[in-house]
Amino acid sequence: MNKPRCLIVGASAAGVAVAIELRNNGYTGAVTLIDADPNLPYERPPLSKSVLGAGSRGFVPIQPAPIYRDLDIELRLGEKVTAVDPAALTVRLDGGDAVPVSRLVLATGLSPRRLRVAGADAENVLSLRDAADARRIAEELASGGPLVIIGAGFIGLELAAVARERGIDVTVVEAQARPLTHAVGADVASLLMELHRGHGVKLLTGATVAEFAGSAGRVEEVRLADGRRLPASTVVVGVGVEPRTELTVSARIEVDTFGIPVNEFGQTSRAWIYATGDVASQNHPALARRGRIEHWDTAQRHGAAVGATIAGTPTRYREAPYAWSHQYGATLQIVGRPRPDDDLVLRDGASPGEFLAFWIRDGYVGAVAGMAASREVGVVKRLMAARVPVERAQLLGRDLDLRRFLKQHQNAVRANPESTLAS
Amino acid sequence: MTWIRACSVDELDDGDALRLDTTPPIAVFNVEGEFLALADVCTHGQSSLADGYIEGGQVECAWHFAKFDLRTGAALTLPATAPLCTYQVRIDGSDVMVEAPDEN
Repeated sequence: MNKPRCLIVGASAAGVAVAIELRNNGYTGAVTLIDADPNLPYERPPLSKSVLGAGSRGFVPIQPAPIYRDLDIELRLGEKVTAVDPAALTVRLDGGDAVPVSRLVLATGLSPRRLRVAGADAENVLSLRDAADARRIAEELASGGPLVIIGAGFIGLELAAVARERGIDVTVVEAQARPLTHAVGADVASLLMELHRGHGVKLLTGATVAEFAGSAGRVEEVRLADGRRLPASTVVVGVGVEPRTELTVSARIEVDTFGIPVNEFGQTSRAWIYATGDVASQNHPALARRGRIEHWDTAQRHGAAVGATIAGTPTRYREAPYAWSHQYGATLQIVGRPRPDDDLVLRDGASPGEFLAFWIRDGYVGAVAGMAASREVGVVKRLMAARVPVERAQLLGRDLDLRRFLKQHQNAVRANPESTLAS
Repeated sequence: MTWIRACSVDELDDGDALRLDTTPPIAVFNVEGEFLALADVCTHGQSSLADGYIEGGQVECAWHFAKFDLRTGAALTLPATAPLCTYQVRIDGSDVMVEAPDEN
């Protein structure tokens, strides 16, 4: 009998975490990590944050190269998996190899959605998902702006921030009237909009693109549906994503409207095939309903849980979803998912550059967002996990020492473990 | 190596940390009355560990939640795999002294 092999398709945050946790949990089979991207596995979050920086251009390896050798993880980079044969228990590579597998992990991620308007295929209409995209954007912006970003999501706004810091003229075109509202609610979204406008970003809301006009395969002007015309030397489109589910066809596993549905341990409809990271459609306790969680932290933690599970330690990913974003030198952090019927408490003294927002749900903190408040966010995360009862008035003032408040609760629980501490 | 004064023993409560602007920066932690000094910059990202959450002899990085053992500097969880440099600490009267690299 051949040695078992766990083969992981996709060497980003989720895939690398699977491989490392397999080894950390004593998996003795072969571990093979495959990605069509030829680069040593790299972090994607820095791509939008330091794409225009000197030197690394935002290229940060997830792990130093020797880690893969030390942990006996085989990297096959620049190779693409073209099909899964569930009857033969093999995967087919674009070079023709058929590799035997006993456990398969699909960590295939997302691809950027394209705009279906005239001129969208021009050479200076770009998206930002991988290192090659980041390099193209840096090359285009080397000669300055104007930069037009379509879509005011987190990636688009981070790119807007780094471009403004370099003095580049930036316009962001957003279809919704109130961008980011679904992610952080209207009040925090307003603070973020104010932050960007304060740094000179021209933010056009309720606006859609009619066409990209130009010559010789290059866009020179973005024409909006309302007739406005925006001069552009570079366009970056960030209008959402599609799950990369191509391999589910040959694998004959289920897909849903979000991606590849998995159970609490990351298993797909075929128990020996797992899906993790952005492509996984999961039933997470923080979500109102099944869906994708498109965060680096989730990819890494869900991947780590799948790695441990395959190695023989069944592990669930249940922590609150966490996202962060760097904008103009400050860090925005969001733990949990705000819901429309939560009670928002914006701590006194909030400004676009520094704030702390709590969403109270059933007497507990359901989600938190902080700008330049990472010490506090680390504490609030624990208030959430421990389900410490809170009241609006406590959180509103700046005089509450959150760390002390958490400690008091922990000490009280230690003194009386049976009590649920309904204050 | 040079001994420098970090703070007085009363300045840093149990579970708190402060950052010294040395090169490289050093974080000093009070773990249940014991003072420990380690490199301040997380070996994964660029975050200051003095801003992290301290519990049970560990610090959790404020940005990406990697955990480190404060006594050994060992990386305990992803995303970090490389350990933190540790520095010697001694209490001199009421002063917490840290042995910093020479350029300080």
